[in-house]
Amino acid sequence: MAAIVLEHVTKRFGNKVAVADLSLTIEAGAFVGLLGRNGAGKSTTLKMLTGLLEPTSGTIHLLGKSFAENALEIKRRIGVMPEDMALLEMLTGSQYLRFVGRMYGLEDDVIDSRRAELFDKLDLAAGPRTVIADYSFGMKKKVALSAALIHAPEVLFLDEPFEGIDPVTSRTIKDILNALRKRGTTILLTSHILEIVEKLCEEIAILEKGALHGRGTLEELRKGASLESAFVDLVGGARDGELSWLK
Amino acid sequence: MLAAHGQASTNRAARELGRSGVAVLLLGLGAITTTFLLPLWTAMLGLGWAFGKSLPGAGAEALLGGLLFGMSYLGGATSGTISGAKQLTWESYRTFPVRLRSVFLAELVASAFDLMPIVLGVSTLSLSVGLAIANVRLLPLVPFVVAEGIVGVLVVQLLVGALAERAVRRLRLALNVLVLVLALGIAVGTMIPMVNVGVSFQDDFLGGALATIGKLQAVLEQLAIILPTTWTARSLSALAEGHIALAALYQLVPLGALASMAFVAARMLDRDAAGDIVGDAPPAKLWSFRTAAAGIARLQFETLMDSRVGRFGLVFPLVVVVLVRGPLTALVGRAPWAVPGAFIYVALLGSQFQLNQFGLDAHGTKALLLLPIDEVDIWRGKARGLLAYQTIQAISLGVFLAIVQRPSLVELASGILVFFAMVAVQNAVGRATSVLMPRMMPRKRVQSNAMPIRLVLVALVMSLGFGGILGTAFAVLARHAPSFRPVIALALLVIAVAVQRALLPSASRLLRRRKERLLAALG
Repeated sequence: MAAIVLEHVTKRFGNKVAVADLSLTIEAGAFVGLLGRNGAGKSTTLKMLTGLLEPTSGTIHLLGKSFAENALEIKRRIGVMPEDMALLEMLTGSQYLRFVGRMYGLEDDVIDSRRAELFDKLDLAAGPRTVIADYSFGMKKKVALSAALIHAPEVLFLDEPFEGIDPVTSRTIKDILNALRKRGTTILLTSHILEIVEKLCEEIAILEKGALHGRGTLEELRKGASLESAFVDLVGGARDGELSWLK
Repeated sequence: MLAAHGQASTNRAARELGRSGVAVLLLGLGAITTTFLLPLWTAMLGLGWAFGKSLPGAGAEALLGGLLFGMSYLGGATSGTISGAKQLTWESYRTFPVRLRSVFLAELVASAFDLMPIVLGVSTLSLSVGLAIANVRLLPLVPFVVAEGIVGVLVVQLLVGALAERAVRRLRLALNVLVLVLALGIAVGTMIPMVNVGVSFQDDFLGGALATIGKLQAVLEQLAIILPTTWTARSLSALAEGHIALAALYQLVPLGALASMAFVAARMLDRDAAGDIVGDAPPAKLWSFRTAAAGIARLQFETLMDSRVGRFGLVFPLVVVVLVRGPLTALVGRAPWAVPGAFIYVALLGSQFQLNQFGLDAHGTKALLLLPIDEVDIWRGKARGLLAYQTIQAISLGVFLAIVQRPSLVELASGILVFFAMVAVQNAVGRATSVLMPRMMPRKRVQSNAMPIRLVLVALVMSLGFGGILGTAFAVLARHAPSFRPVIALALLVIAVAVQRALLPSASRLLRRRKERLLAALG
């Protein structure tokens, strides 16, 4: 069964086409990496998949249902970690997770025990009254990830989850994601860190100028080379890295 | 640093205000300058001339010292309390190879372009020019007086801002208490003439004011010895008598005081930027709620109570009472529309929250829209949170008015009912404006100066419309059928709530349709 289906999805902002006629199907339980250069349309695609943006044309189905017609039900079953995290920054990390957990219909004691476990695993230690606004970037990422995971979602969308995360926590997150995959959770992840994508994702989809430029398993795309080489070959545009004053 | 700050401020203003916003801002500034600032600065020029003619003299020195202290130190303290501390992003500049004193000096210059320092700085300049016109021998000290006045405002502003920032972080209500104490001070100050002279304000306002000034002068003379600004005045006196060395010696006191405060302020700002503040408070309380709307209501209420602008709003009832029983007493007195008028005014002050309900959520709005929350619940929750906040305002105003104005039960009940009718109407209108004209509101500053012109017009129409119509209706009712006031007010409330409820589905559809634009505006 397909967990995520995009059919001929286009998104325009005025004259600018951010996503162009994108069709993509992701089976339930798959772990897919969505790659692309800056401005390729990855975040716009994730925003449409999570209901923050409406497609200009085309349809989106998640977990077998149309997002447009079943937004609330779908939102209860998915977890989202946007690139800019979208946190309620005037709350403490614990307060935020209690708020989010209650919105997903979890009981207080369940939220508190899951929050304690998440914060422990992610090594998130903030002052007891420190609000999220005063957290470091990495700490905010950890809170956002915790919020995306606390209700055990069936589909997980992660936009640049490893950015600003230390190597030890990064390892923990990888373990958590692998455990989720074994549990059957569908994961769609965007990242610029290709080594991580190589280690985690079974399938890769490459976007360029809002359109799908490549899709396949890791081995199909790499063809023996590294993922970085395959990616650069597919999207092109690599520049010579020599600087005139550093010669 | 200043170039970067200037560019960032210009870009932000262009992005937030737009052409119409700049036009409104310039219009507003022009109106304030012609109606308030120019007369103030002219008065200061005259006052400076009078002081110039009176120096040397112990009484004149004490009064001038007190005046300079009020303008620079107390003015700076007020500015620091209401507008926060830093202009520059100290955290960023710590990474560059720049000295602390360079960052602090840049901060002083950047802070000088805030409204309060400009007003106080030009007032000090006018006063000093007046001094020099009256006695040309004082001219060499004029630059010192001006510089001490302006730097005093800026340094005290930064010092108090840094202290308030710490107080807010360590003890959430500390700033409230500070503002409340200030407001109480104003209230007591306004009422002193009535108490001292034993007559009403209307009957003998001038006599009461003069008696107060006489008492203040006596107190100031006693305090003069410890005020650094009095040494500035003494320095002027010494120069007027031709004692140049003595004048220079006296200058060391105000300059030393400013240097010490600048040193402390710079160290505090630097430590804050380094994150030296250690929180030893108990864990923040976790909330629980049964429905999504209840959760949003709690969030809205806590957000308001946690923001400076929200806390400042809780002082409005007291300010309104002070106005009604103080400066406006001759105009308002015990007019039949005074009590409902006060309630209407306080309700209208809530427009900034009602007309822009996502403003304080800012980027967090995205979190609300990502979660499985129905749009109807978002609106219901926000309405309840705002209602809780405005109920506190209504209760405080009712209590203060009951103590000071002693209204009849009919007046009080009518006022409260009209207040909640206004809240319901504001909420219904605000659901549309919050989606159509959203803007971010700073949580750590009282100023919220990015109001789009269309929103200004909506607020203006609501103020004039409701204030005028309801005020007139109440005045007419009070004269011809006073006992009908609560009945009419209750009818208004019922109609307003019915309209607000009837419009809820439309507001939810609007939010669903326009969420992209809402998110684009709020980041």
